[in-house]
Amino acid sequence: MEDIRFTLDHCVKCNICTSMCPVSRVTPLFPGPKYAGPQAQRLRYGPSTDRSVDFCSGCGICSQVCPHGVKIAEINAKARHTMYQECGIPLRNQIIARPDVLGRLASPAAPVINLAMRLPGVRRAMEAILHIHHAAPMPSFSFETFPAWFRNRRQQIPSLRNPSSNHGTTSGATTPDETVVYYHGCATHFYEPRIGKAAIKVLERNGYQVIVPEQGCCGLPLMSNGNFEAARQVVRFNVARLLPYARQGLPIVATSSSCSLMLKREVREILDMQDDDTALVSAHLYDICEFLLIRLAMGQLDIAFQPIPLRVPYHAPCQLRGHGFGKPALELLQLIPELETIEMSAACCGTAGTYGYKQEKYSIAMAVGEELFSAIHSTNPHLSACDSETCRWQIVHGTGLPSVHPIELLAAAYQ
Amino acid sequence: MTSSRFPGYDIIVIGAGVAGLMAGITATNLGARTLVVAKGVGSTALTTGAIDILGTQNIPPTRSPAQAGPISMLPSPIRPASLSAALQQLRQSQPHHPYAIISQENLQAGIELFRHTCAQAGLHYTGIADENLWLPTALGAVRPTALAPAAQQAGVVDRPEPYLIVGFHQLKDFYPLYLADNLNRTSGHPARGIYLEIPRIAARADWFTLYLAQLFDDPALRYTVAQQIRSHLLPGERVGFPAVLGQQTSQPEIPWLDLQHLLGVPVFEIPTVPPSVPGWRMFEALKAGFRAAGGQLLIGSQVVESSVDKQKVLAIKVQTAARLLTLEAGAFILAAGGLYGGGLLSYWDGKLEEPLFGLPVATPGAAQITDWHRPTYGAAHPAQEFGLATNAQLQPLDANQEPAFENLFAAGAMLAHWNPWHEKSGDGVTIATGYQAALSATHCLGDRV
Repeated sequence: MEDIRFTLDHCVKCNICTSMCPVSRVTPLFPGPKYAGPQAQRLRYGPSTDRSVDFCSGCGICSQVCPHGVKIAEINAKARHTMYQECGIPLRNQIIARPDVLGRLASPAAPVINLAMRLPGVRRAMEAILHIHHAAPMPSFSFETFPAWFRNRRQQIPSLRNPSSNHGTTSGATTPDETVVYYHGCATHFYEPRIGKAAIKVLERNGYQVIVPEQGCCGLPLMSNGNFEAARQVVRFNVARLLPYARQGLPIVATSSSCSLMLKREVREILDMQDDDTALVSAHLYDICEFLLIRLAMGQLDIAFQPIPLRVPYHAPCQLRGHGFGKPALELLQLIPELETIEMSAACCGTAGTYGYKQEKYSIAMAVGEELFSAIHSTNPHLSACDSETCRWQIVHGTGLPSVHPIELLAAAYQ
Repeated sequence: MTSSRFPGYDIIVIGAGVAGLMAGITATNLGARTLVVAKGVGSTALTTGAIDILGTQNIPPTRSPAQAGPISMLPSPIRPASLSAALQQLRQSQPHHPYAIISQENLQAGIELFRHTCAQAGLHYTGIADENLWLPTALGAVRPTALAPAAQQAGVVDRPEPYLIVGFHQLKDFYPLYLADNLNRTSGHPARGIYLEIPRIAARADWFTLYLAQLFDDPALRYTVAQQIRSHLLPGERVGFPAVLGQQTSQPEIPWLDLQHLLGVPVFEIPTVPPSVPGWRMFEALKAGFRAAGGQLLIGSQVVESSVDKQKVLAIKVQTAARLLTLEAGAFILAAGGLYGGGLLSYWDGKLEEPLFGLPVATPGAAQITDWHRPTYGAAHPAQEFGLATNAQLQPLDANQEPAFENLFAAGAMLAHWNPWHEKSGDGVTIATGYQAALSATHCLGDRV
């Protein structure tokens, strides 16, 4: 594959990307995707031309709206990497880019750490030392991790025992056609096991045997914080663990639309990992709602949903839109009687992964998200739905309301 | 690479420009489960926001090199002859023109649906006048258009008031003194320009129109702006702004109305170079209308393949992040744009291609590549009329002049035998053909909808 940076040659300077960029409209610190992307890229023979590209949040909207196929966000990601190679990656970026390491360290002491994080002095100190904004929506660690729950559950229900995988499998059907591999990612692993539980419930209800292999962080936070080498390492770790299943032709289903986009496409286009093994894993990766909608098309989805009399604002995250398959959650949620799903038209929640955590970017992220927050409030001041974890946390922070993954609504409707 | 399939649609529209969105809105209103899919955001947000139906009467503008005029030559105005009479004349002189293919009723119905959709989003267009409006451009020329957004109305040269044009040093490509000087010559009215210094504008060295427009969403800023203008305003003047008066979409006309109220004189917007805020407002209004009707919009995904049998298009395939996604439908509308928009491709050797279905591209007035262009930039180039030939249902024709597929329809800039730039007919044709294609496609579905 050709380096995506060459796509700049297709730029006709129409400025559609700048029109749609949620970041440059709220801050003069980012000059906009056209300037930072294809325009500046012409001058990048090796060294960086400017530091403003650091203020690109990487949401990817520019690449989605470009009528000429310029990979603007990807150009910016590579330019950020070059910039960090020159100036060094700040300690802060090194820490927030490793949710798996943080989770492993913190989960065993979750109650204490969660309590400590709520003390105002602690967050102020983190801001002073690490430049992580004190108000940024840090998730709480879960005392019981998702894989631990999954293992325990298997031990409690003898029929679920199956020694063939690391964390285990669940029963249900046994033919290979009806087996899926679940890539839960760090958020479900350490912070929100409830999402994984909902996914397992929905998949099992539809007769699938679920395998949960050992897995690591997808590498997206490392990549977006400029550490490509470390990102490639974790991708290789995941590819090694997922490859045997991909070789068997088993679908790998993910509940985080950002993790799945990372493993589907960003590894190839931004990290330049062009090997066959990675490609095979990518080709077998599905967002969970994408997967369920494919099953619906095949007439293989149990649609005996119970009514949920609710009006739910739904935000499709930028990373989900990056998959290019539309908004499968909208179609699935339509199957639930009495549930009225209102699609939000605001572009972005602002946080873009770890962008909104950073001291110098927090207020930008909040300004970007403002339109979405107020739209959610006026649609339903009780609950919203969204497929990506950091977006959900930002929405909870910006609205003061809980936010769920669409899979949780589907699971709830399978009562 | 694996592929996958989602539940199908009644109608899939390829392209999310004015033609595609109008087709989508029409089809959804008729009860069809409709998807509009596009590679990116089209050129709608680059337009003036005004609706050109037919702006010149010297039709065909020119087909011979000898007649090619310099760029500064204005098209002969449609006045006092009526627009409907000019359309009638065009239908007779150019039987292949999209306006000749589509009935006057459907043209009007399409325009009405467009106006209704925009009005729902708070964006009002004035009634179909049978005569063109002449409005100032950012260079101070005047241009004919059939329908203008309410916020551009007071710029018409037919009004008697002298012009006061305001601009901002930080907004490039809008020079009020230059504009006023030209406008004085082109309109015959006194015109003068001034620069304003407004709060918060120093935050950026130069402003992008849409971002500057955000400042005007703030009532306090509008109040300050009005105060500054009042100190310059001479009795009887009207005030022209670059089209940056607000970018919020819930009530897009409020900032303009408020300024007019504060100043007590007519206020109007002049469209800027792209990206144009009025074009962006129109795009947002059409998207909102399509969504509100229940349609689904997929932007950022290129349709890369089609699946057909002898008579019908069965499915299209969309490139997603890791695989091709198959989408089936009962009927398909191709509104992917012309040679500029990428719906048609041309090559150095003179090859022309419609890449998705392999439809033949008609080249009226140009038998070979050396005939594609005229020597001067402003001339009417035959290449501008290249596109798909269709029948009255807007079914693209194959090499035998028969419908290529019974369930495929085409609309907008892909169509042959018209020249939006020289005729100033771009919006009328895209709206009308989008509307007509959806009528035909829905009809072709029969009992399915």
